[in-house]
Amino acid sequence: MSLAVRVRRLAATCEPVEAVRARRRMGEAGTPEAVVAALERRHRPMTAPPDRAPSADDRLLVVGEGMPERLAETWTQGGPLWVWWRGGDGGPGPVVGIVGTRRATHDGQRLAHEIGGGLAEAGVQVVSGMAKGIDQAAHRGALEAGGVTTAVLGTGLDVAYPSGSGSLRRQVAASGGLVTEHVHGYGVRRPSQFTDRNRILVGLVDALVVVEAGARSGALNSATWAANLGRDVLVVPASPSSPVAAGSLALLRDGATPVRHAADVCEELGIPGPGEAAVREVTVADHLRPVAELLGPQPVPIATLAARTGMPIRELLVAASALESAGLARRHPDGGLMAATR
Amino acid sequence: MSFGVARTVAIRGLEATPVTVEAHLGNGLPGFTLLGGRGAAFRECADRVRAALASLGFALATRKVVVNLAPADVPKQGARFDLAVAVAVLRALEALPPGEEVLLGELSLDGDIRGVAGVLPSLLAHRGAVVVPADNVHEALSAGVAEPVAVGQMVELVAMLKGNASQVPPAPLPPPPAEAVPDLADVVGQLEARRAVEVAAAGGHHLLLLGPPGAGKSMLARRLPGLLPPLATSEAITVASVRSVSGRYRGLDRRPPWAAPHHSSSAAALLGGGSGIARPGAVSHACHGVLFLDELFEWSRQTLDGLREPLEEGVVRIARSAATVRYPARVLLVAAGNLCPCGPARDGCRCRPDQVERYRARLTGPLADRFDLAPLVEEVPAEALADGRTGEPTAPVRERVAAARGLALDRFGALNAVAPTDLVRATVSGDALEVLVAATAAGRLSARGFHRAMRVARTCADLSGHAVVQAEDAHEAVAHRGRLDALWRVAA
Repeated sequence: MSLAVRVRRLAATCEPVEAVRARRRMGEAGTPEAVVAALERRHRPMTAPPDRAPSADDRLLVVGEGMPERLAETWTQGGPLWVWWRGGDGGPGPVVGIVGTRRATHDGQRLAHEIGGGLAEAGVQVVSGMAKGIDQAAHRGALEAGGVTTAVLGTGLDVAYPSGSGSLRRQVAASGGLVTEHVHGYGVRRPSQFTDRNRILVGLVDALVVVEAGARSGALNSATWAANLGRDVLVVPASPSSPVAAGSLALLRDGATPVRHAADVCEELGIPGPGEAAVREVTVADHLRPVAELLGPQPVPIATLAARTGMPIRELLVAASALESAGLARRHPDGGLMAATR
Repeated sequence: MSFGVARTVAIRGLEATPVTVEAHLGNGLPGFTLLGGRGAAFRECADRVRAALASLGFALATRKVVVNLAPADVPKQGARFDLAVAVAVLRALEALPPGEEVLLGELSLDGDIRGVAGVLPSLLAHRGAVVVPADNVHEALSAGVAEPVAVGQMVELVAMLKGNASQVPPAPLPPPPAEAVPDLADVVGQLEARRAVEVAAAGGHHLLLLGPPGAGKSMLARRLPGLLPPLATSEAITVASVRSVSGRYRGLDRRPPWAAPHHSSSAAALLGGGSGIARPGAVSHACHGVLFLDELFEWSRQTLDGLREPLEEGVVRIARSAATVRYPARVLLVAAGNLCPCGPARDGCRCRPDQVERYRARLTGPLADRFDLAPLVEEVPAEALADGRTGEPTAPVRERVAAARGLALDRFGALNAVAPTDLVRATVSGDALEVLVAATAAGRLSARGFHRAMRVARTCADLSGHAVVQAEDAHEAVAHRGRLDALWRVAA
């Protein structure tokens, strides 16, 4: 019986984390075959097929038998023994992961969206975790740019999680595929299942981009895996006053490489970047300048702008919209006006 | 065998239909049969009339009385026909001479005449003699009846119809209680929201005030009716008619009405409803005035969606078992809401993103599209509250609003919010259209938002005295509306 068939039976009942534990116990002797044999002794693999028959498109990839080389190499450092894979795979070419907080700011989501899109344009496969916030923004950015994106899930392939991600999951499946180590029907059971998937995410990529990681974010866990597995950690800098990015700044202090946009990421990877957006001649009409000068990355309430510029409210509203029109400012949905960076 | 006739009026919504009451006294098994209406109050009419007539000394106990209200297919309910039934019976008894006057009123068992609801709309189209309960005589006067006969007791009525008594002119109605609309001067800061309120009042645009609790959303909304001009006579009559139908008539009040139903209200309370013939809801009570929905995101989605057609058409149609009625519903909608369920707590928002999404999703896209302005009401810094400075008072703002409304009415014959789209577009410059098109292309306006922003731009131009909508007016309109589309996009 081939290893893949044995793993397939085992995977129906065995928590993936047990394979990792078994390998750690066995040390150097823990080859995939040895670990599978040890697990079979404990689990009595099912002879009957599991209740939930995985759909025909879903493949089980095992270390040494179909698993992408880059991911398979992580096996000795705590990587997965097997993964389920639905839909397309990325094919050759550079792969970059984009991770960040679920509670992302408007700006963080936009950055993730733009970096995902920019990397996709440069032919880079974008991997993320399908979580709300930064992850989904990165997937969407890559999809909208017509690129390839892969999602590493913390649940079974057929579990509708996170809620409301149904159509995005389908699109990603059709693009770069969905990946998980959990069996079909495996819902949200343990807190660690989402941090455990980070090692698969990191295992798949050449470099990891962190956008807005909070002080206790899962993205920091990904960054730790990246450091352990020898992947580059690239961080999008943020303002120290932004609480959702405290973790990002801590990573930068620890020596992570700052990146501003997709082109910076490509430079780090040593590949040609996306078509450089021509640096636009920024000409601010004179009457808009007093407002434009007050704008930064944090939204400024209209009332504050009015107080600082002394402009009547109508003129200020007109200026705000004119600046937005010119692409120099953006309106935050919760209130104020902020500078547009591109 | 004898026969008597009296005239009265049935009402369905605000629509009055003349009704003829025929009474027939015949031989047969004694009884009092009433035909042509429905409902408990109507059926009990027979007993009230019999008791009231007995108090006058007319015994019907041994007679067979049949009373018919024609036409039979006009829905009739309530106690308003008592007086006409009694008079028709008295005429059948030949106790009263025949007459053509219209009679409205409810009878008590001892022959007193009580007021009824809906006298004003019943008599609007009527020209001729009218007898109403003394309680309702001011409604009859408001309806344009020259000399209504007001009666308090059957004895009086009988004497009067026989020509034995003369009418005493009614005492003037005390003026409605002066609930002073609070002044805008109390609102400190809130420049953006104040401007939005002014634009909303000038153009009749619907307004959504967003901001943390305690920032002053309700305070601003409460001051909006003060910015509107006094009602025209026809509008005041419509408003008074709706109040009359609900039994809440309080004189011909020219102040724009204000209705602020609680967010737990049912669809029937908001839009109108009830069994038989539907009664008007808050949206009709606020007609030609302001309908304020506080805590918009706490309203049930179904109830809010019921507002979509009335807002679009200016009338609300409600079908119930007895009849389908139309009530006017031309309101200026003002809603207020927090940006998230925690309503940003003092130390910033603590809501999970999915909670915020669900919260905002109560504002369905089609309803979001009904709003034209969505200013942010920000918390006023404590220093600003402490230094005692006040904002611009209501009076000058009301003048600007009146001037802008005048321009719109001269030009379109309607406010900018409801004027025909092509007429509005004809007064918009190419530059301004370009601004709106660019904003739509950039995703800052939805497709429906485009047309509504164009109307808001027209109002901004009116407030600035521009005959043609300039680019800056369009920019202002986009700034007023942009947040709404951004918010809805996040929620979607």
